[in-house]
Amino acid sequence: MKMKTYILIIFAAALFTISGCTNLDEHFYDKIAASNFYKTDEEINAGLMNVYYQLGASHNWLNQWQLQECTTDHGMCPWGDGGVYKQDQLHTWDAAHGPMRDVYTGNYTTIAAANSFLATLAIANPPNLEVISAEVRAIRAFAYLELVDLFANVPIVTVEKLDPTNLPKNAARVEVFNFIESELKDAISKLPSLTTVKNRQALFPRIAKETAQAILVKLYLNAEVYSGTARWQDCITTANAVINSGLYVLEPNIWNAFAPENDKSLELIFAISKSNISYWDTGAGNWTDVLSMHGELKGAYRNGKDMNITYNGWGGPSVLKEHFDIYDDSDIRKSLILMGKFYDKDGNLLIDIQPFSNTDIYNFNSPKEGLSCIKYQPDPLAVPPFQRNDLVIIRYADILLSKAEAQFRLGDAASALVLVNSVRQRNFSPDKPLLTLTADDILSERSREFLWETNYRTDLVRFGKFTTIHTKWKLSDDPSYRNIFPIPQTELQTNPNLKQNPGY
Amino acid sequence: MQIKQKKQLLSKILYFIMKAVAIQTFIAVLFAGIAIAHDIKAQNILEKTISLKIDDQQIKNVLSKIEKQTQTRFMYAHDIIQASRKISFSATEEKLGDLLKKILSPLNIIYEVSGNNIILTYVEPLDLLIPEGNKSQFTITGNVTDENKMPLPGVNISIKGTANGTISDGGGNYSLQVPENSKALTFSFIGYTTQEIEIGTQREINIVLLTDNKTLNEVVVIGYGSVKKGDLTGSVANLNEKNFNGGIVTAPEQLMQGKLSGVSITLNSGQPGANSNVRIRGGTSITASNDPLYVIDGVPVAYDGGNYSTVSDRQSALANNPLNMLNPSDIKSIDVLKDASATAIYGSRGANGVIIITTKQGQSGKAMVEYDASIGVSTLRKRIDVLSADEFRNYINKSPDIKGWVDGKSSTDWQKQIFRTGITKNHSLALSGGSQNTTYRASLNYSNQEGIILKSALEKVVGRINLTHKALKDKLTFNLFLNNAYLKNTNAPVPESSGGDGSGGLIRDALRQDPTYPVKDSSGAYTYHGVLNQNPIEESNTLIDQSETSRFLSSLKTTYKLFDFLSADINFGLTRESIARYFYAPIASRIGGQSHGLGSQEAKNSNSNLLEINLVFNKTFGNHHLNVLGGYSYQDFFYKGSFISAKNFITDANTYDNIGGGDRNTFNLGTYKNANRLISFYGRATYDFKNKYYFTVTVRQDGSSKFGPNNKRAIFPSAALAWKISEESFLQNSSIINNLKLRLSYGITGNQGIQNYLSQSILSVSNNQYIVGGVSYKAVGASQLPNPNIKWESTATTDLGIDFGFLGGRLNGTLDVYRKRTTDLLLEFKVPSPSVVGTLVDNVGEVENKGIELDLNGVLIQKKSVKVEVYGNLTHNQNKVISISKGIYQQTQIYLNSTNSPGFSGVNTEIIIPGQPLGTYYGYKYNGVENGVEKFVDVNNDGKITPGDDRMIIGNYRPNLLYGFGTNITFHQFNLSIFFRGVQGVSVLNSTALDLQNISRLPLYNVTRATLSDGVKYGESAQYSSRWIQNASFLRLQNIRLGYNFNVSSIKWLSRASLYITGQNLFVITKYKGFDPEVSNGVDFANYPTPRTVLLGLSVAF
Repeated sequence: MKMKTYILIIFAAALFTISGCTNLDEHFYDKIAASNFYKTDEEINAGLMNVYYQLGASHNWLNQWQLQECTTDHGMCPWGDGGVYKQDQLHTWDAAHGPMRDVYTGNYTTIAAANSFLATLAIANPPNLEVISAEVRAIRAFAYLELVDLFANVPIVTVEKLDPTNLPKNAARVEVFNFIESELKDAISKLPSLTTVKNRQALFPRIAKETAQAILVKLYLNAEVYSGTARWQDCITTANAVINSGLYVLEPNIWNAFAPENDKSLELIFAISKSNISYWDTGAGNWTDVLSMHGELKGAYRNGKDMNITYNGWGGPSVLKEHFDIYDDSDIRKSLILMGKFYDKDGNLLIDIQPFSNTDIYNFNSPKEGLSCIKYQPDPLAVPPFQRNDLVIIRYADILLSKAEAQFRLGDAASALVLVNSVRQRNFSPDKPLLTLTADDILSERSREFLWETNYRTDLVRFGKFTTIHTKWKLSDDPSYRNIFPIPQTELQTNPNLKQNPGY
Repeated sequence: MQIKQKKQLLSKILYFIMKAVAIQTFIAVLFAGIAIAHDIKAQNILEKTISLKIDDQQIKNVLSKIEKQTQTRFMYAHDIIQASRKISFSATEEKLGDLLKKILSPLNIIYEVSGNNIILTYVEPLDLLIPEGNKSQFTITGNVTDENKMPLPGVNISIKGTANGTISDGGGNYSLQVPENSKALTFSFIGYTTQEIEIGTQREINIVLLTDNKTLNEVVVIGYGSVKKGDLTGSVANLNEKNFNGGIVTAPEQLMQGKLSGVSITLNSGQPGANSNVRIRGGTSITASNDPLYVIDGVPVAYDGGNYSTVSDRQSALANNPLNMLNPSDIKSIDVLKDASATAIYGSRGANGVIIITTKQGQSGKAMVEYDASIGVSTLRKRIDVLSADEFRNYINKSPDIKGWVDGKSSTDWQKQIFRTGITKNHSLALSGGSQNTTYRASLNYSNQEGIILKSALEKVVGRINLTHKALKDKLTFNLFLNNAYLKNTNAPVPESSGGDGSGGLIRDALRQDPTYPVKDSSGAYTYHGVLNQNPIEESNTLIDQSETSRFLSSLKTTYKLFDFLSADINFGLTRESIARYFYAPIASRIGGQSHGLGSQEAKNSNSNLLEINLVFNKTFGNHHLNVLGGYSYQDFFYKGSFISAKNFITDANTYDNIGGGDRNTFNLGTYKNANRLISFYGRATYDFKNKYYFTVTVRQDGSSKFGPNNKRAIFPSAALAWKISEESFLQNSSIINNLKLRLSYGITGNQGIQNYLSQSILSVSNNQYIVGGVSYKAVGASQLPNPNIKWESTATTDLGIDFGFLGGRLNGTLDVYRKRTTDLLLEFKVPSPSVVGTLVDNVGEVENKGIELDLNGVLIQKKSVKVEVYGNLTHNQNKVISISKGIYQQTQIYLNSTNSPGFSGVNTEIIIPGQPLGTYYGYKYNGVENGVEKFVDVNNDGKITPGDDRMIIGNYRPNLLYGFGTNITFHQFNLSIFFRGVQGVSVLNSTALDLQNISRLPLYNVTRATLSDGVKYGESAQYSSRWIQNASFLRLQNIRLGYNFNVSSIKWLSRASLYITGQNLFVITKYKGFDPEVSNGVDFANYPTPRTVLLGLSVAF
């Protein structure tokens, strides 16, 4: 080759390269540009699933248990964890409380995922935009429901990206209530009814018309707390819509609603799917039993039957003796709380579980103190610490008892009594119906029925008893501001527009 | 016979070099072929006959007529041969060769045939085309040596007033044909004073070249060019081969550690092959890279900071230094560009300084073979004082608090068990030489470095070929650089301080292991004890952690001199890097046993392609000299990788080679790929008047794909001026001041060392899924929100410098003061709820660095056989954070957690707060022990110690003062160099002590001996406080080297031979209690200690 040709080639190659290389756009390889997705049904479903995934991830049960149950006579956890359980139990929490922050930010993560998906989806504009959007907004409304219940005056945000120079402000609790109500009502009008779906099991636990109605029942049940105005009739009307759909039944045995395959239970209306995953994700697996059970219970038998406890529990969340004592001995629900001696197959003693004995909180005489709860059936296929039981959020019994309570508040105690007994009845053989009904009866029936279903604080607040509850350790009342939790310190630090709830 | 064998061996070695770099060789030969094979058809062309009648026509027309008839092409510079001159002649059937001679000779034009081309060049009348033999010539021979009588190869010897000349060979010998009337010979060589010798009647001229002590003529490599040191306007530190640090050097930055002011280099670990933390004039960035830009032979090399530590549950970090692809003995010089005037030509990559590495080229003349070999011994310099077995059991037996401990009834020094004497072997072979037009240098380096911890080792093979070819009467130059490196690391399971360590690395395990237990019990089984239930020796013997790295770097530069004053060059460069890491924890091992075998493989690739086109104008007009550079550059970068792991193997037989043999439910895999590109235009103009006043203006426009759509392109300007006061008439004849130059520069540079895709709105497909109707569905959501304003970090630098040389060049120095103000720093902010991302990145931070730098060197004694040289440098840098939120974000300080002692994972140890420097420790101030309990200063006097009110600033790990000093002594055949390096005003978080000086750890851990007397009672737990922030100032004997040069003048086949012994890190003077006061990022947590090394070496040249 000749020298000149060589030079020519070099320069030509260089020029060729230049002309091809003036583009500074970024090319994606392992990620997706937001503008280029949600085109196919499968992609849209992936976006929807992300909102559900975030909902699941923010419901690991333990955090909600701390806020709703550990703050009452339902439970206590003997672990250290920086003293949070002690704060829960004694009502001495402050804005630095970690699990409170996690519940707050967890729900907002779901809200953010929903906002982001709605924004991107609107650009993609698929044919079923309205229905998908309705479902996403219902999930978002549920997250707001948990926030308005726990933190009351929270910001309402529906945009994808915050403006750093104009960060969100608190909305008054009633505004949040109104927002949830209108969102749910709108969703109900657009979502398909499960009665029109051929295989409703295939959609569980996605939100359909009836699911959204059930969430609305819960909103109306607490309307007075949230908005200052009771909405008992709306509660009954909406509950009737759920009941009259004919979709749901009470399980003959309450424990069936908490079985490893409870996603097939017709008592469940809204749940968060969990599975026996092998990787570490407390949002994806159900670990309630492992958390609560004492390690020694592994391999225990009861009445000659294997309890299916195939793993060592961690001896954490425990039921208080005060609560254990409110059951009738023949109440099946009492058997879900474990106290006393447990033996293995051959009759060797494994553990003698005793209630907390010491009056000095956090000073335990024995690691075997604290009553374990196996409300979720132990899963023989568990991959410790995770089992398959879906986390129950709303079940049919709650709709019936909510309607009963609304009837009672409106003065129809007789109808209410019938409804309460219809739920209560399955736990007794022979039946032990209530003969009369007081407000306290309703509260205490709800306490037994929904133990550890992360509702109890909400119930106590509605009945005006949360700040006056006393336990082994909590001996005095506290001021009413404790009915709502503080906005987490970390949020106040990053958002100067936020105001702390009164009292904190 | 023996001699023959030797020759065979030599040729085998040479063959091996070639084979080792087979691809390069192939490419080299290919290009060399293009360049060299040009005379084949020469005779044919000149034999062609031609008939032509010309009457008073311009030469260019004549030539084009000849072109047509003979189908050749003439190449010539139009004005040089004065193509418009008119000539007349007639030719019939004349041979082209004869005709050309006839018409061109009278015009002082010579011709040369190259393929089908005939190249015409004008020559000085002296070199008239007098037929061979007619001209009276004679030969001068001689020998060139330096002051130490060492032969100097590569010296330019030319006949005064002509371009004719030669170059001395490997033995310093030369031979030159000289025309009768020649007057003198000129001897010149970079770094030496040029000398002129009158020929007279001499036929043999031997000469001693003196080192140019003024060093002003030394060539300094700057971005896209080079300049004489005396003509610099910017702040550039330069180090060449003879001043490099000796000893075990796996990467080039260690060659200059401590030698240059303003350059702070900290080895991140003592593990063979570890990377270093290199900071030029303090770090400018908080979240983006603080690494300087490395340019190797003109190719900017992507530097990834060596973060390849994601493998395995073990989380042991991998020693990885991208720069160790180079063979240190291939490096000719390292130039460090410090101020904006020097770095602005690299625009958005210049803010952290630029380090330019230039490798050695071959020299024309006889082929030379150089061979260096060394063997070294590395040992642990200092151990941590933990309790002996007796102290351990005595304490426990006497302590009423400790029950249930079982004596292992033995006595083991676990540190002795894991540390060893590491042997390092190094062989380096280089072959160089060339003709007048083509020079080459090929080298092969093999080294095997054992670490001082069991098993840790680095094996390395580097091959390199540098080839230069000149053609078309030196108008065309090709430079080819090919470098290929293969490295194999055997990693000890040791965490670097920057790596995470939940379960404890080998060093920590050895420090805390119960010393009363033997390594193995009487049955030969490993013992496991303590809370760890581990055995460090077992860990080391059973776990397999290896990595293989190959790095390829090449560039081809073509320079064409269009005119005397204008040249163009094109540079193609590419780098290819692949790293594979293999880990296996066998079923039989403690760690692997937990998951019944654990295996993983990880692969990482990073590639980069470069194209640069430059145009250089260089001309002197009387007293004015102007040099202008303009260029275009395109460079892209690709990163990709994969990871697979599995657990539950049924056999250890396949280790990590059959990951698929694990349990499918435990499979874990991932891949990634990302890319960015940089497109730039740049220019530089330097002008000087009478070599007295210098001006430089530089500008670069960088477009980066990483920047947001609103800020795609950035402009980085700089300007500098220099005044050579010593050239003024009032100083010109001064006998004291030989050189005095004042420099002033200002400029803006950038840092684009930010993540790819930061400005984009991104969705990620992850492992997240949700179950509906018993079926698991993938979840896809936003992982990043767009920020179209994302841009580079910007640094404005002002530099004022003085260069001086006194006393006939015996004392030289440079003093610089500078101020760097960095704005638009990228910081992460916590975003309030609700946001799909927890943090947002924005250009809001501001940091300032101010400093002063001094370099001095002097020659104390310079006699024929004795020379004593001393040198030193001093750097003071003051770093200060100005702003971290620009008022936009609700953030007044940023807390960092730099401790990784277990139990301290959530503890804030550092703070970034306006007014304070980066690297500030923040926590309680320790106030002694009272009644067995650690006490802290109650800052707000409220009787309580609370994180909100009682924490304060308790130290800083960025050194206040860095210094280095040393001496080079030559005495006859001996030479001795001693180099000290020190750091003052720095503290280190001794996290190892925080972990081990804790009486309550007994009996599950061993503790340090200081624990027994520190007064803290049993049951108390340790807290992070100023107690563990310890003074880490030090003075280190970095390097001492004694060499002997043999007198080889009587051995014909040998041109050089020397022996040397080097001691590295022989002692450190410090108050610091840990292994070593020098740790990366200020945290010492069971760091791999820097060893003490003694090395014996041999260097010969044939």
